[in-house]
Parts: sequence; C-alpha cells; structure tokens
Amino acid sequence: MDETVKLNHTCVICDQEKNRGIHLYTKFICLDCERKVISTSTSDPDYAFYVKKLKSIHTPPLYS
Amino acid sequence: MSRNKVEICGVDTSKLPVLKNEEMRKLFRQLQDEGDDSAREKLVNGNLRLVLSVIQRFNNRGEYVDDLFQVGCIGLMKSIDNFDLSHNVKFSTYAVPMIIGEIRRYLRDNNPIRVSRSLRDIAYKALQVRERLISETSKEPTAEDIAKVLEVPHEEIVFALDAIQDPVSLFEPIYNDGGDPIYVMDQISDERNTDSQWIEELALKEGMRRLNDREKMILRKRFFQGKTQMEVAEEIGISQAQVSRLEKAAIKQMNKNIHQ
Repeated sequence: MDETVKLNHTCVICDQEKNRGIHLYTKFICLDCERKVISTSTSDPDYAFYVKKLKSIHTPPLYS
Repeated sequence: MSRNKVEICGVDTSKLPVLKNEEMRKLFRQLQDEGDDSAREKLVNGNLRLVLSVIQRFNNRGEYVDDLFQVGCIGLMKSIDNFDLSHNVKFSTYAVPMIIGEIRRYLRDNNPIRVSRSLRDIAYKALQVRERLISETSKEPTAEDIAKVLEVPHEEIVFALDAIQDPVSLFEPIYNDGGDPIYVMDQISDERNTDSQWIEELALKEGMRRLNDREKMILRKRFFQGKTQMEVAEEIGISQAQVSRLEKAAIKQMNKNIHQ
C-alpha cells in the first residue's frame, strides 16, 4: 500500500491524522501510538486509557 | 461457506482474514527486513482470531470480558514485534502464551481491590473443591467441608471467598420493569432502624406514658437532650440532688411499667 492512500487516517488513540500506521480490525492506529501502546506495561495508568480508546475497534458508536 | 455468523466481543469472525503459515513467515520476513507497515497490518488482522480464541478461555471465569479484546490485541501487537523467526516455531505457539500473559497481567493490575496472591489461590482452590463437592454430594458444601479438604482453617476459606467478591455499586440495578428500577441500595437493610429497635421504642413510649409531667420533662431533658443533672436543676429551679432523686424514681417507675 503506498503512502498517499493512507493519508488522512485518524488515529483512534491520539485523534490526529497520520499517514503511517496500521489498521486494526476496523480502526486505524498511528505508528507513534502503536509504539507507545506496545511499550506500556499493564500496571501503567496510561494502559487503562489505551484500553478505553481501543474499545471502539469492536464496539460500534451508538447513534441517537 | 456457512452463513452462520459467529460473533465474539462484537467481532464477526467470518470476516476476519486467515493467514497460512508460509504467508505469515513471508510477512514476518518483510516486516523484519524492510520494516514494512502493511506487512504488520496484515499480520495483526490475520491473527485476530487468535485473540478471540484466547479471550474465550477467560469467558466463563466471572471476569469482566469486555475490555479483554483490546488487551488481547495489544498482546498480539507486542508478540508480533518480538517474534523471532529463527526459532522456527509457528507464530501461534509464541503468541498465545504472550496474549494470555498480557490478559492475566491486565486482570491482576486492574482489579479494583488488590487481593494477595496466596489468598486468591486459596479462594480459587476453594471454588474448585466446592464445585467438586456439589457434583459428588449434590448439595452445597459448608465452609467446614471445604476447609477439611484443603486442610486450612475454615475462617481462611470464608475470608478468601469474601476477598475475591467483586465490589458492586449501590446504584447497580437489580430489577427493572420499565418503571423505577430497584437498586442494590434498596435491598440493604438499615441496621440502625431494625424491628427490635422499633419494638423497644414502643415499650419506652408506653413506659413513659404513665409518668407525671414533671418526671417526663426531667427524663426528656436528661436523656433526649443530653443535659446534665446540674443543667436540668438550674433550668427548673430545683437542686441537683432533687433532680437525681426524681430521675431515679422515674426510671424505677418506668421499669415497673414496662416489665409488669
């Protein structure tokens, strides 16, 4: 996949538009966030934040 | 192609891609030699089934499963980054224990109440023994029965089983018929306002009813308003000794009234 196609993807964790990263199931995670997530230990308070953010990959948003 | 949809944690398993072992090795080579992002993407998505299968092991343990998918995915991404092709094993061989480890750590670190390892072990053993005893004798075993099998004091069993209970919100709804829901809070009794106390109050009222006004007033000031004998004496213009005497007589009278 070339980079122009990937442009304008919004990362689920930092909510910023990034061009490098991966799609995890339905959502996009930018390279920087992925690195951060992977190096976070489960006891880190940030971990709970990532888990919360990543929840949207398998729970569709509720529209009212 | 079966039309049956299997959904785990909101993920439709039939839509997940599957990778063959050779494909996976090729992708890993691409990732590790060239740092190819798309290879990693394919590897992550191609192994999501692995995460789901691991989550299912945690399904019937009474733990909170909702967030485990994300945790599993993080575990999967960690294992993809650390996988070493030179060990010549299948990726799943390496990834499954990694994902399980990640989930275990997550559950341990995110429990609202920290329970010591040994206590937790006792509790899990107790639960197993309980299950076994139920299937053998088809009745609920007592804490003593479990304690006898595990050879620990039965207080320990009770304590351990208590410790692994999940805390529950007072506002957790337990029944909802569309109207006002019933919360856990509504079913907790108020220990300060129980029946026996209510009966005592009735008896007290009955006892006081037969006293004369002066005695009633003194008792009210002394015991309901918490005043000292000196204060009461000053207020109604008698000596403290008189208050003491009247009080004693009134209590004696009340005792007689209640117990007769």
